[in-house]
Amino acid sequence: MPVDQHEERQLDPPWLQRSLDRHYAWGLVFMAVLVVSYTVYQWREPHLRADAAGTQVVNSTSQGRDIFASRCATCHGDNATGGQTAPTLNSKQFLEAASDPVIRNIVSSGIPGTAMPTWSIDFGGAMTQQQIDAVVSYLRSLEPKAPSIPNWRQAAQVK
Amino acid sequence: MSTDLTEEQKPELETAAHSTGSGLIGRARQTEVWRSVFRHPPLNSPRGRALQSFSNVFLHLYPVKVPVRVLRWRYSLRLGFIAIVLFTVLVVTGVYLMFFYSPTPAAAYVDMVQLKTGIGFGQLVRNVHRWSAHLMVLVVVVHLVRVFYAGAYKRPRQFNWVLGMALLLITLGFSFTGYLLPWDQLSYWAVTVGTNMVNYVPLVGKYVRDILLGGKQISGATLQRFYALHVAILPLSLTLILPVHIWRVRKDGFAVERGSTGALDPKACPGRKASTAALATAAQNGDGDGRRVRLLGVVDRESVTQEEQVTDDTVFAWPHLMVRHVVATLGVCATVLALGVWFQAPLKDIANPNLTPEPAKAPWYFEGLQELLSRFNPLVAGILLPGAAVMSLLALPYIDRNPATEARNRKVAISLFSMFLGLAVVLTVIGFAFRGPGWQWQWPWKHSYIEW
Repeated sequence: MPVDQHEERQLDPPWLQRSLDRHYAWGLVFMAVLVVSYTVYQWREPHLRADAAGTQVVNSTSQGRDIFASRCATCHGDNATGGQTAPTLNSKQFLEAASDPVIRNIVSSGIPGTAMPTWSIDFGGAMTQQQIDAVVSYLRSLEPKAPSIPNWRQAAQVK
Repeated sequence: MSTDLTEEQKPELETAAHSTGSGLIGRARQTEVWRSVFRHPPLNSPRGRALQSFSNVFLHLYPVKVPVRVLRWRYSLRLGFIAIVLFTVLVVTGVYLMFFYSPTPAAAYVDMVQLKTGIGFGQLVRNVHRWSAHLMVLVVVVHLVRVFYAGAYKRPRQFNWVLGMALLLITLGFSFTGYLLPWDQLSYWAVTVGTNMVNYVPLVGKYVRDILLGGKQISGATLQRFYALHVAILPLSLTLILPVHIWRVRKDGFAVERGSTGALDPKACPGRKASTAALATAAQNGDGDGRRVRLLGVVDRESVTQEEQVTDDTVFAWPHLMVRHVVATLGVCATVLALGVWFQAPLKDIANPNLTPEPAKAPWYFEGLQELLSRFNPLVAGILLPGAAVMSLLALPYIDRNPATEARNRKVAISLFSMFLGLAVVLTVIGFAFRGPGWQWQWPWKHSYIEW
């Protein structure tokens, strides 16, 4: 390589070669800016994402509360405290047993052979995936204060 | 079979033969694989540099040699090239965003929120996409302004100016259709205000607006349409016209230097022989195009060889122009990445047709028009003035027949254009920064209603 470079320099007048060198320097400066920017991004990203997620959960929970009141409370009771025909969801045992994906699945697809219908709009139901996620956020928000109800399925068994 | 040849014979038979460099790279250059890919001789000779351009499809976009003045940053500010880089950045980031976006009112806004919280690089890519889009509109407009003041739209480049205008309108279309896609209050109302302007077009305005929106107001159909325009129709149009635009820069010759009457002005090249200067002037008067390539056609081979030694003001595009372009690319990438890291793309509440924000503003590049509409009769401000502006810009190279490129010889054109430009800038700045609720005057440092 050094041999090649030496020969190339002879092709161009010195001022042109100096100008080329200045451009290489600028290229290095821009690369440094790219590296620094990316580092800053990596450093800020977790905070930004956590902040956005926090806001999203708050919004989603409040939307989920409204949806639950209008669509779910008829069977599951106001504030998920249990109804005549469906399980009590505001229960420590239920919320500990059921992960978010499990609740999302049940709401989306329903439970065959029970009164729980298919809710997802993808399967002919009435709720978008985002609305179902909101309901999940709402139920999850109940967990810290959920009362201990070991027989939370009971309402379903009564049916 | 090449194995039958001695080492001495190889370089003579294969143009791909490379210098016998030492070290790993030198040995790699001797391999058959390397030579099958890079078929040009070493780059330390003019022949090598020229053959490299001929034998490489990508480098072939460039001329083998360019005039020295093209290398200078002041020559064009590299605005056209920067616009291309921004477009490339927009394609790359846009495709990434397409993976996580569905153009339905139910999903679009949620996807925007999801980009913030759940998708790797999601918000960063969206930031870069948004700032690059704004920058591209700005750069393309400044490109137009610079080309005007340089007189670079004049013969033989008239049609390239028209193509450039088409590219500007496509760029605005890109930005405007993309504006709706986040489906938040900002995008919904900016596009509402923007498309309401179409209503003022006499006779066909209402129908055009209906076709654009897919109904009487912005809805899921509009989102679908704008999305199709944004990711299919407009990219295709731009990719079709852009190569013609670039190609014609080469074919029509690089723009002349300001203050010079032509590329072959004898005053610009003191070393030129008088006879060649005369020939050059003759060629220039003949078709208004004094490029040396044309000159090569009219003189015999021997004299060209002689002239090359005296008057050659060109350098090889590789490495000189290409290094400058790579540096410009890095500069643009660094700028948009830094912008994307520090400034978040806005996302307001989900679109709500029943809640008009105050003030409802069009995207910034249409705010001059909005300001104009607030002051004059809609027919005048919405149709006659902007229509006349676009039409006269399109036809500019055919209206302005004055061949001069120096400012002192085209006072009328420069005065008129400067007045138009000044008016457009002032109106846009007023609409952008100085208008508040009810389109009342608002000092931006007291309360800012600036929206991006």
